[in-house]
Amino acid sequence: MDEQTPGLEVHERATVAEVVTAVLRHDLRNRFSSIRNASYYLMRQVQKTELWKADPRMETFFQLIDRELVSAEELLSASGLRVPQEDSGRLRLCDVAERALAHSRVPVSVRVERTWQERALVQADAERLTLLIRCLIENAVEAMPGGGILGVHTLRGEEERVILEVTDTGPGIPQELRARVFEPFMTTKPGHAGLGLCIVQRLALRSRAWVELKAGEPVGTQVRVSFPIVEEAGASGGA
Amino acid sequence: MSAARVLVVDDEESMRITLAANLELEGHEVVEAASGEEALRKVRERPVDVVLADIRMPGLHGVELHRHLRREQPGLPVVLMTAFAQESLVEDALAEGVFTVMHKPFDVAHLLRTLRHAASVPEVLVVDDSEDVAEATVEGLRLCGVRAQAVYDGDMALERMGSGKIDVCVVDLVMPGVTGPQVVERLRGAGQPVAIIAVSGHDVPEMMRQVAALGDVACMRKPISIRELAQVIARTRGRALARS
Repeated sequence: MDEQTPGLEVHERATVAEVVTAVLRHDLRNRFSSIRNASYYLMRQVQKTELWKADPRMETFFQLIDRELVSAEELLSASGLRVPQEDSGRLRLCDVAERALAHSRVPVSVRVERTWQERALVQADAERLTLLIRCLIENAVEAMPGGGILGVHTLRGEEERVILEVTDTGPGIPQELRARVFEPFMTTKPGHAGLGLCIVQRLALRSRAWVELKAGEPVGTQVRVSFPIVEEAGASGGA
Repeated sequence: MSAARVLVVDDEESMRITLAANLELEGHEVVEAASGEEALRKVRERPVDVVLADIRMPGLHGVELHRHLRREQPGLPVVLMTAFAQESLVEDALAEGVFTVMHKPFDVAHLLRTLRHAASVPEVLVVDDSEDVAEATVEGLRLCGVRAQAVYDGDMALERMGSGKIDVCVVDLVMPGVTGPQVVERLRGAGQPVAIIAVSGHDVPEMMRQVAALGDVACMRKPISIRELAQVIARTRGRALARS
């Protein structure tokens, strides 16, 4: 089995994720709508009764329902998984990785090994690239509840590419599940939503990068994200 | 326009019954349909004043339902709803003469105002000193399923507004006599609840700024595509009402 094949399947999975997300949002919005409609009706009816004047919490609670639904809807719209467009910033992958590492919670039982062999620029949005790397770091850390080694490296890839590699020394992902890890809601960890790698996949598309997952050597899991290198373009850019 | 007969079309029962409850509380008579097909049957049995339909439904979807209704009952106002943020069908619907499209979850009071407004079957007033342009625009809008009438100067526009049937005014900015910005200012001054779409053929940034400063004005540059104009009108109708 060729685990290196990033091609069409990767994009297909990302598209599936997009569709699933859109349908989920749609269904949630419908639920929110019905609740809002029902709440408005109840409020209008209660306004006609003595209870409305007697208990000021009535009004407060109806306002609360409406407000909470509005903010839930805003969260739904702001979570940013729309049709991916390519990001246009230029960033030094190793710098962003360093920052992401600094912002990740790594328990003391996990030792961090980092090397920045390749210091090339990639085309990305700083926030999204940080999120991508943090997702990978968190996945790796969660795979080692009893401690282990977290590796974060940048390497020179073939054909003008720079590779971000994140490794762990956890139990690894069974071969039969490896092909499915980019699917939404696919998880080997109880209590997890299984969206981490799906998100990584979608964020990677914005930088024209692709993601692959392999068994670690000798144990654990190794995830590689391969980015096309962009030119330094005279000025250093990036910031 | 007070009480209306409203047809509510949604395959989600919870949506239908909660909308119906609110509409009935406002004094409207509600007819429910769980599908586009059922909606067509109900409308053929007995006419309604306004239709509120979801876009995504199994079978005949909301936009398709609107197309059928346009053929069978031209002029019947149709308001569509959608829970999809990006819906390709929405753009088509807006260009084909739906009254407006509401994005779920919406404010119920806003929906009630919009339906009441739609049921009054308002018209668009096109103001352009070129008779040919004005008439062609009106004809184009009619073909899109949007009711419209034309006048050729600012005075006529102000007079026509008095009829109370106009809710959207498409104004050419550069006109002899009363200019576009003056028309807009006077309409606003008269307290007319009318939405303004300012159109300009020449490069008149100063005028555009003048009009934009009056607030809540959509601006379009000539030559305008009728499809786009119909879309802007429908969007404006969904929005402008929030204030009134």
